Amino acid sequence: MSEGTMAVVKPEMKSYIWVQTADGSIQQVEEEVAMFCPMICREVLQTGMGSSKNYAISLPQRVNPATLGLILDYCRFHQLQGRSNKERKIFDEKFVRLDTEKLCELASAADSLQLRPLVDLTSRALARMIEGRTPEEVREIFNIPDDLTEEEKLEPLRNITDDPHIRLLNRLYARKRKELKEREQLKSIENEEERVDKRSVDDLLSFINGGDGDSKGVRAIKNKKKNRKRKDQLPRNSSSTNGNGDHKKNDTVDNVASPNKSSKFQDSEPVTFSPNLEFVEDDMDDELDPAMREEIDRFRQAAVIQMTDDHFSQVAASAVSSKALEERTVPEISPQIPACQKMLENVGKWGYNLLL
Amino acid sequence: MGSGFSFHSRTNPPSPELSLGDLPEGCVASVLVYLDPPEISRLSVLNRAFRGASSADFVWESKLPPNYDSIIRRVFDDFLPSDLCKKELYTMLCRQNSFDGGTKKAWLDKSTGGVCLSISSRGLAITGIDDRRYWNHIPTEESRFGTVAYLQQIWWFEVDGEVEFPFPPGTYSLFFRLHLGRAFRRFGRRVCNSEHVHGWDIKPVQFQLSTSDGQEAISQCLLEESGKWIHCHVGDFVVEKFGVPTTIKVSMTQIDCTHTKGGLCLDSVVIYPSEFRERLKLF
Repeated sequence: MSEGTMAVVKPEMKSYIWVQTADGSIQQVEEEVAMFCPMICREVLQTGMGSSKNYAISLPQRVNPATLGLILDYCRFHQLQGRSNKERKIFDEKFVRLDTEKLCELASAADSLQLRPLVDLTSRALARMIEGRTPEEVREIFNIPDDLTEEEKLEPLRNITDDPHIRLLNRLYARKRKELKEREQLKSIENEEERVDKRSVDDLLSFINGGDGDSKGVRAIKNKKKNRKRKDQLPRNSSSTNGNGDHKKNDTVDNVASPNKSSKFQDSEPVTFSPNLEFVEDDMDDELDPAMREEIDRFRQAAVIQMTDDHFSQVAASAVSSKALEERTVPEISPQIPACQKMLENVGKWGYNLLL
Repeated sequence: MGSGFSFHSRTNPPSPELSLGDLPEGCVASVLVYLDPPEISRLSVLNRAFRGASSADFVWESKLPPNYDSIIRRVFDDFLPSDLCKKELYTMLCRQNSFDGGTKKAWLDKSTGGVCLSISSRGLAITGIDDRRYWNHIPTEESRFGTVAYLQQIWWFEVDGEVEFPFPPGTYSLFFRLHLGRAFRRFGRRVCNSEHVHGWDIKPVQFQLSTSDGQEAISQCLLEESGKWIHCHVGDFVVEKFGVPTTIKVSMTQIDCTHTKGGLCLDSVVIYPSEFRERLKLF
């Protein structure tokens, strides 16, 4: 079907081209007007479409009927040869007095139809609206959502000229990217920390009692620092196999460990604790099963709580309770205080299981 | 957009409003062509389409001077890496690039892309420059080149300069950048020492300019002490077509030997596009 091409146009019989917009509506357009658009022109010449309603040329998606109307008005004016430049200019200036949305639609549609003069005209009008404004203003006026991710905004700039300002800026961006990553890592860590150890004290006791012998117990006593760490890590992994050194919650341990270097806890079997034993913080840990260390911690915690039931005041009890352990406030026990005296008596009963 | 009817009337189905944020990158680039470079860079943070469009080659090609490759060849002896995009080329040219052994600098004005050029005092032929009784080179931070030529006193004052450069078509103005009196900083403040300034108010200084295609300009000027750097306008010249580098010859003389003159700091000869005269308030 190649009738729609350059037929001779008689004055009383104009020829029309059929076009179809993306919404499905088909309309006919005067041929000479439509051929002003390079895209339509090419379609007609190459494929012969547009000669009848059934063979309407499908226009690109960006051309909706209203915009098509505008474009055709433009083409109709400009395709007439006899117009002077001044006339065209006046028409153009009036033509682009549209609101921003219509202008954008027009620019987009003209671009898809490859109508370069109209693209230039609308672009110039849009540029006139944008120029002199800050990006925030442009964003407000044109309602442009920000679709750049934080990371994309912090991409380093290519510094060919070795400009010191750009170097500094890149360094700042690198630092911000690092912070962003750390924040994200922290978020994922927090999500993991929800796990709680639900085992009862009895289970732990039996586990400990059925566990290894004295030597381990002694060793367990010594390193309070690492035990603290174990306890803190408990919520995360009850039977962990991870290493010890990566916790920063050392201060309680230090408070606890330093005053008298006495043992905290051992398993239920009484253990003779020789005061000469040094606290060597680092080297003992590797010999003790981390899981065991955790259980020992737990048990000690529970034991202390039990101990406090008899004679302590509530305050003292809470002070040495697990909560205090968590909050790293360990009260000093001096023999003068009656409650403390009682506690020390109890210590004698239990053997060396005093945590302070 | 999906009403799905098809008859001959022009209907207006409700369609989502298209805004600037929905334009494809190619359209955005067409818009950016009509903005100036600082604006283009500023808008690159708006959204992804703007960011991509603000680095588009065809946007920046329109900002570069038409003969930018001959400028690059003239200014950069060791050639630039060939993988630079047009935006990076523009950035490089906007720097104050030294050439001819550091005696001259050329750069593009970053808003308009106009070519500017400066010849330092070391690139000018100054009569008596070797004689320390007359002229000295003194370092200063007030000059693009870091040093100026300071005249103590002389009878025959003559400075000549010459440069050959591929100027893009346009009109350019030429100036001498001078300072009467010697400026330095004391206690963080700028102090001007005018002990040697004399002889400039007796007879005016003559300026002369000539180009390789026959344009000439002459002017004269009575120098006055103002404690500031003055740009003495020598003249304008027009470059009509590119492809042929223009050679400019300029001279500044005061050779009336009945009196001595001195106390002058000579920094450089500068060539700007003529539009800058109002912008920089140069006279």
